[in-house]
Amino acid sequence: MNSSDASRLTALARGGKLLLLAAVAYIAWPYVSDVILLLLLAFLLTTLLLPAVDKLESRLHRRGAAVFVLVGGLLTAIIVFVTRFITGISNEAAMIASDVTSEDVVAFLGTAREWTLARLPEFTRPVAAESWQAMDPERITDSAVTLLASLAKLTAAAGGMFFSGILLVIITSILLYDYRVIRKSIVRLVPNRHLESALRLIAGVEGQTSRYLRGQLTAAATVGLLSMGGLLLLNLFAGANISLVVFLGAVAGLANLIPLAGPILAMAPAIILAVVNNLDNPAALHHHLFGLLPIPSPFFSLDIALVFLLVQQIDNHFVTPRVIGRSVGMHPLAIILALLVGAEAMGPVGMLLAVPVAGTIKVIGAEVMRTRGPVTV
Amino acid sequence: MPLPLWDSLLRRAPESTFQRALRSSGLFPGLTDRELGMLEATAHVRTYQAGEEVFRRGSRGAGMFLILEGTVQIAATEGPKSQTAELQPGDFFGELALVEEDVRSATATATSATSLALIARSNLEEIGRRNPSLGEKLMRDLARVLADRLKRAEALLQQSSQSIG
Repeated sequence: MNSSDASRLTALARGGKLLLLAAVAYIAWPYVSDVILLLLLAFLLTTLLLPAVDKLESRLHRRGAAVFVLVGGLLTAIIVFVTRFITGISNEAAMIASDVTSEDVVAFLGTAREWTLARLPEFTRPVAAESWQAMDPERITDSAVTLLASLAKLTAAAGGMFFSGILLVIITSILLYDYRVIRKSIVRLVPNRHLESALRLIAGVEGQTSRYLRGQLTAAATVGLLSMGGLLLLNLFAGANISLVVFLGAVAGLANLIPLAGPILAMAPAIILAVVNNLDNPAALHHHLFGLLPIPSPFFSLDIALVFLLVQQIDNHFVTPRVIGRSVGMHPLAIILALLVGAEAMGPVGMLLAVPVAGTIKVIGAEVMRTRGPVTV
Repeated sequence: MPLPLWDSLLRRAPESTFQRALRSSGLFPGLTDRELGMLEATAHVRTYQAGEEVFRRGSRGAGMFLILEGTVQIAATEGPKSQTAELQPGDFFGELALVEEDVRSATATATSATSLALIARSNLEEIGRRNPSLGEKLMRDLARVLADRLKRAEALLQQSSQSIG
């Protein structure tokens, strides 16, 4: 056997190994996908929080204390926020239940039906009228029963999420405390000839992910504050009567972490609250954009959409380019493709992970190309 | 027989090979035992066989190597007339990569069974974040070493230009 045969055999064996690995991954994926997702989220959180733990450690001189203070502080903040959010929602629901009677709902539906049908072109009216039939009070009662059944399922799902959340906190805390030991153990598996490449690669991935996440968080905070401000202005000057503004701002900020789709998801709860809060206010149905322009904006829906659109424009043109900049260094088309793949694979969480994962693949690709490229002597 | 309690409390832990090699290198002279331990925790210790390449000239470096055991040959050029240097335990090489990500200017090869510790640039940056005073100390020592080497290179250059003249 000559050397070319041998190299062909080696390449064949390598290809076979890769195929086998892919097959094992494909079979095992349904069983391990949740665990991998949890580990990925824990890694992202660790990358985000590691600099803060390092800084705290430099003051407290104990890593364990630094992790405890940071994770404990964050958990307390989240618990306080969620508790206040739930209390706010409950109060809101109680108020609606006491203020709005079934007659109010029927009256509102009737007015809304007339208003909509009057503004639709003639040929669409029969179809629209049929759709409105679905909104009669009896059907709504049926829907409420279905909704309650869904709520039970939702509660079970929330229980599962709570368990995953606890696991995420535990794994992240362990990673924050022992991240460098774990990383060193992984590096130990790398052969000598690839040691420096592996270290550069790890530093590159960590740096890029950390920069991206910190940038996203800053952008999210800015979007949250701006949305809050916009909704407050709508309340003050247009009498929009939107409640839970702080929480809506927080939702807008968090939704902003999911690129492209997030901002659209964020405006939905604001519009729903505006509709619910103004059910007994006929003027809200006939409201015009900002109360000034001759464009109808029933229940301030268009006003809210415009506020969110404006916040998005500010974020896209001034905030994100400055705080995230070239941290990922990917073409917008590549980002959109990554988001589509992420959404297809894991839904909204996949969209959240898509850009960091694509960035990691890019860093690995660049390092491989550099290592394999011609050596300049 | 186990040591008495006071003995084990008062006795200093024996120095590791890494700490011994780093002290004898003179690279970071003023470090306390705790600081040395912190540096050791980040170092990647590797064993190389005789003839195994540590890094090649032109490749991109990630950090500095400290020789714990064995010997390493540094060759500035390739071929039989290549200028070489043989380094011993306690010597270090590739320290420029601690300052900037640049290509290696020489090839390093283990000439016997060798144990090396790699201190990566990213690890040094991490130490600076976790312990800013230690980070500053390390960077100052590193700057001193690089300045020494620069002075030596200048002196050699002057000598050779005088001998040509």
